[in-house]
Amino acid sequence: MGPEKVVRAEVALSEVSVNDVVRELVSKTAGIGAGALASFIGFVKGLVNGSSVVELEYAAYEPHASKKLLEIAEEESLDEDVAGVYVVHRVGRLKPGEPAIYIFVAAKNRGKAFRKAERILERVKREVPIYKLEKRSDGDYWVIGDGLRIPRSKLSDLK
Amino acid sequence: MKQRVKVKLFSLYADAVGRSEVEVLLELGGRVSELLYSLAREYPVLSKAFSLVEPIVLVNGVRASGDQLIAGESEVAVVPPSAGG
Repeated sequence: MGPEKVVRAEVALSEVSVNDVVRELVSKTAGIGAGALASFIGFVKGLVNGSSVVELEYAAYEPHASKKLLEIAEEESLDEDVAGVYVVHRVGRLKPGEPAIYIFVAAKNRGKAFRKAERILERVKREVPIYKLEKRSDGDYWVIGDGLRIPRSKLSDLK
Repeated sequence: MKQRVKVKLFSLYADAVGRSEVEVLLELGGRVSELLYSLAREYPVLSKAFSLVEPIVLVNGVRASGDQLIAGESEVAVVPPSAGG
């Protein structure tokens, strides 16, 4: 699969039209050998540690977040069996159930598409400078890395 | 000779100080480890936040090691581990 590959990545405020993305990826990659499309959508949880979530506030360090997102998409699409990669990470205030991250991978076969989508997800979570505040019924928490939570109340205690 | 370096703060660090950018006095051509030391000294609340979560320094958006030199025009940010997804 050559230079006609589809590689896109962006930090976005709004939702993605999944049907449009799927249609575009399939139509642009079928002719270069793709036959599988894996998609992953991460959405905001409504319940964390027994408390209800009001919203998540995502902030990206730009332009570095967009640049890193594209770098990951480009690097992972170098695989000869990958025909298309489209990654979107949303920022701003998101309510429970709202999509926060989308990953689409068009590849030669299902195994490659699934594995590549998972790998891209793990890389995005670790490498892209995006930070989030979780607002819950029991208070606000800064989410650090993949799961540590620091209550905001602890920060005011420091002063 | 010393220079004032602007440092962008994110997540709990910005919240602790109450600002998304601070300035710190650093020797010209100082290192990342010295920047963290100066920040902790000038902003005691940051020092405490650093003890809650070990900070990462990004120079021009790229993760920097403690002994990396900071050039005058660099964009410097102090961040916790990323929380995307």
